Amino acid sequence: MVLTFKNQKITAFVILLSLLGACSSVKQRQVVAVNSVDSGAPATTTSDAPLSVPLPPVVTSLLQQAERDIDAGLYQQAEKRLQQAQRIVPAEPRVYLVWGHWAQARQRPYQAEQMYRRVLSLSSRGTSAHAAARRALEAMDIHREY
Amino acid sequence: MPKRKKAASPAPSPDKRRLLRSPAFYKVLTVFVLVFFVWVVYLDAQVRYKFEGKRWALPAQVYARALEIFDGRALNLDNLEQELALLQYQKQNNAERPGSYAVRPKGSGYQLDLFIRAHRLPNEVQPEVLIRFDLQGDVVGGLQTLKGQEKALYTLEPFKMAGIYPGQKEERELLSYEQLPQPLIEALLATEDRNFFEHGGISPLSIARAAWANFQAGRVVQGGSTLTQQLVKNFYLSRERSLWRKVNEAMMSLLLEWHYSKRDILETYANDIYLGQSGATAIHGFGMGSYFYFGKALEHLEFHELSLLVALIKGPSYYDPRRHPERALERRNLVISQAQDQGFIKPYPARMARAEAINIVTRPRIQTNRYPAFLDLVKRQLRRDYLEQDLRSEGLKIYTTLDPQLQTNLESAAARVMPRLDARNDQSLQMGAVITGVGTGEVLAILGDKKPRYQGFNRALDARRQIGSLIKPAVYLSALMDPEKYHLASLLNDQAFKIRFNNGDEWQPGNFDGKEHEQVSLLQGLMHSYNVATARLGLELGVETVHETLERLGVDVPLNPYPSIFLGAQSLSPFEVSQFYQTIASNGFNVPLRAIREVTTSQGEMLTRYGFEIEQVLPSQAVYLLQFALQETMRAGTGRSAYGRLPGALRVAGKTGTTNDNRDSWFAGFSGDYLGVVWLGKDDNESTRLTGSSGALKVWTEFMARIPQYPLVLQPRKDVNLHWFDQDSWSLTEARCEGAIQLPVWGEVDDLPRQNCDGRAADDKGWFKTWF
Repeated sequence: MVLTFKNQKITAFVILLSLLGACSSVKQRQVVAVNSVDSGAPATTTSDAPLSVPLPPVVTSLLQQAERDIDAGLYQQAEKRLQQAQRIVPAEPRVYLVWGHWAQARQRPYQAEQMYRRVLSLSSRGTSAHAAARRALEAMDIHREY
Repeated sequence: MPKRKKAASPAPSPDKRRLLRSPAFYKVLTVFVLVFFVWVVYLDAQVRYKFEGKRWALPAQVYARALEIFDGRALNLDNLEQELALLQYQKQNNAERPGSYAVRPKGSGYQLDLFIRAHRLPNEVQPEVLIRFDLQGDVVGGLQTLKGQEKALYTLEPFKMAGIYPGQKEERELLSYEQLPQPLIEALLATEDRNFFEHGGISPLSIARAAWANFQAGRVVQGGSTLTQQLVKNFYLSRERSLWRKVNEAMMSLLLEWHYSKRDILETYANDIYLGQSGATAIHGFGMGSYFYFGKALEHLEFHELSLLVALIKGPSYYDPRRHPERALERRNLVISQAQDQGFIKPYPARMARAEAINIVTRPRIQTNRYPAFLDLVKRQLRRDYLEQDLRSEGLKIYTTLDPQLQTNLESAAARVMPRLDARNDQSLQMGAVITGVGTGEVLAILGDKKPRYQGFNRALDARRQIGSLIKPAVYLSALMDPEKYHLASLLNDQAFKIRFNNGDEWQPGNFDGKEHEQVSLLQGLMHSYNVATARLGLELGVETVHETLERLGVDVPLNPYPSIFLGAQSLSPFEVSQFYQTIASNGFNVPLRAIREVTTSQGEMLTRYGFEIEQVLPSQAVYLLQFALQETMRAGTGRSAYGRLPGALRVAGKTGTTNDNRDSWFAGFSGDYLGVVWLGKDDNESTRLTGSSGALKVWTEFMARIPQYPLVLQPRKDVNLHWFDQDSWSLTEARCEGAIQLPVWGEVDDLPRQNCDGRAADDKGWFKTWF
């Protein structure tokens, strides 16, 4: 099923909420600097907490601009901003959430589906991005999940 | 006073009268007129054909990615300064001009002022801007705008890394008449052709003036050619010095002026004039000359800089400001004085301009092919969409994904490690390496040879060599995709075996350490790269299953149909391995590798944007388990030596690969940001005496240690839960038990064996309880 324009607006709203809802996070992504002193193997391999991490302000700004560009039909500009955001935070599910929206707006349902799947693969249950991607897939009548 | 009567003209002599009456005279005259007419028509056709057609074959310009600066960006000062040096930025005490920067210590880090030049990117114009930011712990922070438009993200101009040239190497940056600064036009006309807007192509007055000046000086000090004649000479004619060429030049100048406007002629002149040489590449036009000498766009030059460009017209080699700064200075000041004499500039500013030192960039910004291996990849990808001829003549602008900082660090890592390894190999060791962005699929750096500037065989793309144990993740992934049957604690038999094929051949895999390990867990089999256990697992799964996994991972070459494929008897290039591991690093999503972001026309109109596309090809739960095992491989398995150099906080995942007789040394590994694949070997396929760990891993580690980056963070998956296992029996146990290890499991664990801390099975009640 192809989403209607109204549904797209709802998706955009959900995305905005997920962007704003990131404030409750407790963990910050940390760059490992060159010449860090703590050499030696990590003690264990662990799964890291998947809680929503605050987005760097520049990414929030890029995603919001991309949303506006999508709504205005400026798809190339929106894609460029999404690529910029992706390069900054390649494992950030919220980037792919907006990208899914972009693909839907461009009538590319398969790419949209893949982007939402990417969101699911990068986020865990309980996060707003995960929930938004699930809803988007359900709205597209896609229930199969890897 | 009566006027004197005008004397009557003398009557023609008899000879002349005879000649005028002679039919032969008219025949010769007719022939002469006809020849003249044909000559003029021929020259006219020549003039119009070239002027109205494509005037120059413009090479495609290939750019690296543009550096983006924003709060939170991982950035190391050394790396940044290397890139700024490539872009010809000058380090100063205060960043006062576009193209300069200043660094001050601040706390445990630095504070930088960076004056970014104005530049154009596809669909974007970035005006000049002065920014300030801190670098603490290799992270950008406190970004503020001191001058210019405030933004959250600033982009530097991309480094022009190469051109795709026609046979004759010429560099030019085309400018329209409107883009030529008025002071440049004035200085040019004052020096080269004062009557340009008055004459019709040739100027007898100028010729007479030049002849008189030359006569007075006793040598040639002044030329009488107009700008139009100079253009005709350079644009249409050869360098031959003959009267006939001079006649052609004069006639073509008249024709050019007859057909075209002064603005057209001046614009063409400004784009065509030869201004210098960069190796084998000729620099033409003021636009490119500006970059070549000053490292910035023509529109940003000051009057004294524009005057230097005009000064060079007379003799770019003789007045070369890099080799002969005094001559260049003298000539430039003459240009300024002539502009002053003509009233184009007032005395005071002229004096100020003459007082300016010649301030050119030390190294030309023109790069013919600094990164040959990367350019090779770019050309291959471009040829899918563009004709070779267009690439060499249409002036396309190719914006690539190359990251100069990563490329430089890859080259440095190779330069640091390879000599040590090569010493054991009679200097015949070779290498190929590919760095890509995790999840983005962007190719960021490539080495096709241990000598980075070598333009021959590109091993990163074309050296297809057996990959050894690099293939094992595909075997283990095939198993982990069947969660009903396999998990990381599943037991594998590691006792030697032999297979006899129908044709009588035998296959008997052995472990690298020559030992058998009875039963090992799936995790151990991968971590320690046990061949026997892996071969047995592969045989359980079947060759077809492993083939299917490899294909899903993006391996698109004919696959070895024999069980030896389980141990890596499969040839792939480093680039193909990168595609394979990119799918693993991207959680089971196929992300096609790409080296180009955008292609535009020479005027900046978008032609092609190479977008990001993905496809989920593998269940993310299985890939998660594999990533976990590959992290363990780095923490405590065959890749553990990397942490002798890497900080423990940089969690990475990876796999070593070694082939028979140590012919090939491989490593593929990734952090949260970068995936690196390194191959070492010899072109004659002889032994390197290196394993994946003692060879390729060293180069990879050296590279990764030089780059600030984010660690690999494993995101828990739906239906994947952590459970405690005993490390001897690999049964489920409790966290409090000695030697218990926590492993992720996809699916239910109800059917798995359990044991207590004392080693007894959890359902074993003990002899005492059983007795009762």
